[in-house]
Amino acid sequence: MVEAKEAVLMDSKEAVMKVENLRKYFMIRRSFGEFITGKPPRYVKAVDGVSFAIKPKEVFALVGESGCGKTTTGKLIVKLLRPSGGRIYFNGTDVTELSTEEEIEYRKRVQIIFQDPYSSLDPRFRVYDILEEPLLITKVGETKAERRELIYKALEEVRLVPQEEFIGRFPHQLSGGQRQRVAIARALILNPEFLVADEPVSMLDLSIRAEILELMRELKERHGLTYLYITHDLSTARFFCDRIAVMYLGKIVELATSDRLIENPVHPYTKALLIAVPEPDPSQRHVMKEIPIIGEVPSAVNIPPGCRFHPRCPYRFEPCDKEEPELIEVEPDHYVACHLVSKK
Amino acid sequence: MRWSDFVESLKDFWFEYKRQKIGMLGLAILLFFIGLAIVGPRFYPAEMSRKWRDVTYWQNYPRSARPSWINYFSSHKMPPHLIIAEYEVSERMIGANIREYVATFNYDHEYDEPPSDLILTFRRQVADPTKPPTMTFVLLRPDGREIELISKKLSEAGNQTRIVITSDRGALSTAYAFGREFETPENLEKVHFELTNPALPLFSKAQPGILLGNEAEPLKGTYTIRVTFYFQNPEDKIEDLTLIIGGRVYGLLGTDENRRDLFAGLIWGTRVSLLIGILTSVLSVFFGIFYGVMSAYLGGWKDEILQRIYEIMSSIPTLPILILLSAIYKPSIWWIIFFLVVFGWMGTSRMARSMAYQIKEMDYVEAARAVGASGFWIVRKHVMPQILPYAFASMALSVPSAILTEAGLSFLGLGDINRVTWGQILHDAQSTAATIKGMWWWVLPPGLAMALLGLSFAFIGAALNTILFPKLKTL
Amino acid sequence: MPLLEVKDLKAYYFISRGAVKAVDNVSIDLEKGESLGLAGESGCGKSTLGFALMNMLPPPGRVVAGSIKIDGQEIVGMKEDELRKRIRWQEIAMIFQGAMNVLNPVYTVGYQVAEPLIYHKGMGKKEAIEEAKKYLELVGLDPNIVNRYPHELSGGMKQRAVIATALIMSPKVLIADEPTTALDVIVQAQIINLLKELKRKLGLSIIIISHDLSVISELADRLAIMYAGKIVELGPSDSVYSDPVHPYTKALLNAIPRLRKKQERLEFIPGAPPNLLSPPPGCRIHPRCPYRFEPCDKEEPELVEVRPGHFVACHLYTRR
Ligand SMILES: Nc1ncnc2c1ncn2[C@@H]1O[C@H](COP(=O)(O)OP(=O)(O)OP(=O)(O)O)[C@@H](O)[C@H]1O
Ligand SMILES: Nc1ncnc2c1ncn2[C@@H]1O[C@H](COP(=O)(O)OP(=O)(O)OP(=O)(O)O)[C@@H](O)[C@H]1O
Ligand code: SF4
Ligand SMILES: [Mg+2]
Ligand SMILES: [Mg+2]
Repeated sequence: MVEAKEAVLMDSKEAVMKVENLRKYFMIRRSFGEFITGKPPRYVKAVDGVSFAIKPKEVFALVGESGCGKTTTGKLIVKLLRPSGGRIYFNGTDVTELSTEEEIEYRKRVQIIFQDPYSSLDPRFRVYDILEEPLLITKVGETKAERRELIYKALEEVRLVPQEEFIGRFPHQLSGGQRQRVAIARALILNPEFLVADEPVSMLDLSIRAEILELMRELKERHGLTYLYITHDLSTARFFCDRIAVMYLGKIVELATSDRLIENPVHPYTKALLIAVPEPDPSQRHVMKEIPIIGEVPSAVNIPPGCRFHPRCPYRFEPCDKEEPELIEVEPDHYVACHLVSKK
Repeated sequence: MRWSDFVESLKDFWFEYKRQKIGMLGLAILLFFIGLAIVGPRFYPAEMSRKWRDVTYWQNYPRSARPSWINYFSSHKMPPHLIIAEYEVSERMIGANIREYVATFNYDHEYDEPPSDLILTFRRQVADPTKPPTMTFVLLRPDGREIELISKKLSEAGNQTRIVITSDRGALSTAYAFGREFETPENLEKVHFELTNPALPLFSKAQPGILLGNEAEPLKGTYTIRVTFYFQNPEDKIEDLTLIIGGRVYGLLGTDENRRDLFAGLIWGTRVSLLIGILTSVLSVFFGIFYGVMSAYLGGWKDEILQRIYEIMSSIPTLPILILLSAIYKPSIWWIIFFLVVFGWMGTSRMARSMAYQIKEMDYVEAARAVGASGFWIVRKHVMPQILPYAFASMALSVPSAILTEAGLSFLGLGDINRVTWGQILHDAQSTAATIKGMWWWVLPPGLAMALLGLSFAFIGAALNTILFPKLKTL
Repeated sequence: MPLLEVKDLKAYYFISRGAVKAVDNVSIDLEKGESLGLAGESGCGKSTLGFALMNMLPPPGRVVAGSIKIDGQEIVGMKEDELRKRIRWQEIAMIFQGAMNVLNPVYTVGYQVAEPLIYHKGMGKKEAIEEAKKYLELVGLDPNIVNRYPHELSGGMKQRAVIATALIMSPKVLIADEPTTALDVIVQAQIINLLKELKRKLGLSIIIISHDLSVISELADRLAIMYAGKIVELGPSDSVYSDPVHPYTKALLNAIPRLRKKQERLEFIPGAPPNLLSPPPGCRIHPRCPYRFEPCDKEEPELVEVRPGHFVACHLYTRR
């Protein structure tokens, strides 16, 4: 078991971001009655033992269905949430416990972009104020002129030029794509090394989506950024990412390079996901898609014992509902957590 | 938010507000009251408010007079209140050491009712109290008849004298006897000596019906009042001699049964109501916001505790507690405001908490926290600017209830006793059964004022709501 | 005769600053058992067209001109009463965008599915709920969920219930407005399968509205591409997907990240869609079109047939 974990983290020395057995349980609020009768609290196990390591300049995708814990993982990494267990290493140093100064430094170097371009910008702030906020908070840019220069530079990075035209606008005076670019500019303005992009394009129109993805790629090249790209969309993950980790109910079930994962999926869940992805090809319209799995994701409160996927798995067999499968390397750099590979 | 943005948004706001008819109406009413509260006290000194319960302060005012302006709407003219300090004096010596001092007042009576009172006030300086002066009060009617109403020795202690002729028993019997002469026997059956208003026969035509309130015909013309003093000492003298002809109409809103000028009460009551309403709502809204935002911001068990306190506070029945507290402590207006704030912040805190919670969950707040923003930063930059506009709306909306609660306490006789408030005016009206007596000018103005002022804030609040709440959706 | 025939339809929203020309001169038709995809960027008027076909545009929206015939019956200008009695939900039904999120939390699923029967047919509540059970089964749900409340259902189940509601009066035409948006891929595939099955089993004609061309390709026999209130390309799916003609359609298809194809880069369309209060003159796409030439900003291109049944509105094909 230890071996398997080591395997995933094999390249931990050169990793920019490494998480080890990361866990986040949210306590469900008990009603007063439950509290009085001493009912034990129940937990949403949003993230339940996740490990991975992201190499420098890599784009690492975390893919999975709604509620599997992707956003929670992202927020744990940028320290918007405090983990219930596990460790996070940034460039080799443990960042779960940091002094105040260290934390300020860490926050400058690790940034996040949110999914919804409508709620990620304060409607009462002008673009200029939105971009100035992180500078003021972290006290980067001592004079007004310095800050102004940084803001202009960030706007240029995301191609909102001429800057004069945009700095005075309120978010509602921007299109969805422009908003998302402002959000990216805000994440970039502190010159971070590592970006968590939480479904940055899923709320955008198709035509704009491509533009933002291209922009993010360009920024990566220019600044040597490393990304954790969170998405539920395997197609954009394939396009944008070097490696993909598939999450199910708070755990990674398969991890491989993008091409291998899509060409040679091993885990039954990954297979099902891949089959379900629609393609712009009308020739299949008269045939039903064979989706090998049934039902929907159960709630993260009642996680099934053994392999958490077993109630929906068409291949399940004897150990599946008892033992939890560990991540096993099935081919170089391709890890799968399934008894089909570990027990058969 | 920058200053220029703030000015800009104020302009936008005013532009939208101007189009809210109901809001403009509310604002107009409010400005009217504010004007009243500012301008009024220039004409009605603060003493009037402080001495509202001091009967002697008001003794030279007419009792239960109607508003003066009713004379414009009726052909039955009522006498106004007159304070006459001008008179002719003639002095002469009668015998060796008696000096006669005659003051002659003229009064033009052109009204359909007799005056309500005849009051004479003066100050006397008597050198030797064992030799007091004597005084007579004679009324000379336009028909030439002369009636001596009072003739007495001024032997009481003190030098301030106030003689209410219309309540003097001697004067009453004289007036009655005067009327009797002309009355028919049938009419005499109907009248009762005790119940006769002495002013009636004095100011009515000398003919049958003179003693009957509804049959007497007013005798119009110039009356002469001759007040004569007989001094026994050369140093004795009379100062500040004043004759008050009690009116049946007075001022803008008349007087109550205790002779108090109701308009003065209304004006000073406006100040109190505005003070209570605005101060209470501003303080309770600010405290409510502070509490709600703290609660949302602290979260976890602290929020839990603050919420329990909130729930306890909201489940206390406010009015009974207030009544109890007021009955025990007889509080001043400041304590009343304090009590009202203590029991009045919960609504706003609830709104503020839920809004703050909502804002706290927004991604832009998370983004700020991701670069290390402190809680104070988030509250100041993101939470407050969004909550404040709603605070104004809820301030406006909570003014009426503060005004009404204070009025309610005063109405129960539990208000601040050193100030006149609308509620107290109503309380006094209630306790003397003013409505039954038809004294509408006593009851209606404070009632209407209360309703109007409450309405004005409700209108303003409603307009603010319509402007501010759709904004939330578009932003 | 087509089952649904729309001619020169104009549907505008009248707001204080003018008319939002959300649907402007749209003509489409739909045969029995056929499915038509309607794709385009957000705000181009897809939902508005759907609402107009139901003749239930929310105010300040109004059908300004044009005709909609269902089974030969003109419904533009029809009395509200008659529409409710004979047409709406009975001839043509719609799955509203985001409907699964606005199910009323205080009514049971059964009641909400049965509501059109009670409301339009005056059926008794019991009977209607019995009927609802059949339709719940048809969409792959356990009929016993009639007594459950929306919050007890998962996203996919709610969407199925919404589909059952639309089908309960056995309409001939079903408009599905973004039926899979915000659903997970697997659930999305399940819902698409369901729509395919319903189309085959019931011979339904379906108009599927989506901004996702991949989802549409799974269902649509024909495809209409909408831009700023107008249809710019319309043709058989096979023809449009494999060989798009309009520059906008081409760009849209090239912007899709593909799962099974390694792409070096994605194409995108610079700029943003126009404000429909004052759309650009001439061809509405011209400010964003790399091929624009002399007539594009002056004349509006007409739909012309470039291949059998495949129409396109672009000066590249009309003027060259
Ligand atoms: N603050 C919280 N309190 C309680 N439960 C939470 C909280 N945040 C998330 N959860 C729960 O944790 C689980 C994982 O949530 P998370 O947001 O990480 O999922 P996700 O993979 O990002 O999903 P999506 O694709 O919908 O964004 C969900 O069941 C969610 O309900
Ligand atoms: N009630 C309304 N009042 C004014 N304008 C409206 C109204 N509803 C829609 N619009 C405008 O009409 C246009 C078309 O809207 P519609 O909802 O039909 O777009 P859509 O293509 O369905 O977009 P989406 O993909 O976002 O659902 C948009 O520009 C929109 O702003
Ligand atoms: S471990 Fe068993 S149940 Fe889990 S995915 Fe593999 S085969 Fe299926
Ligand atoms: Mg998420
Ligand atoms: Mg729509």
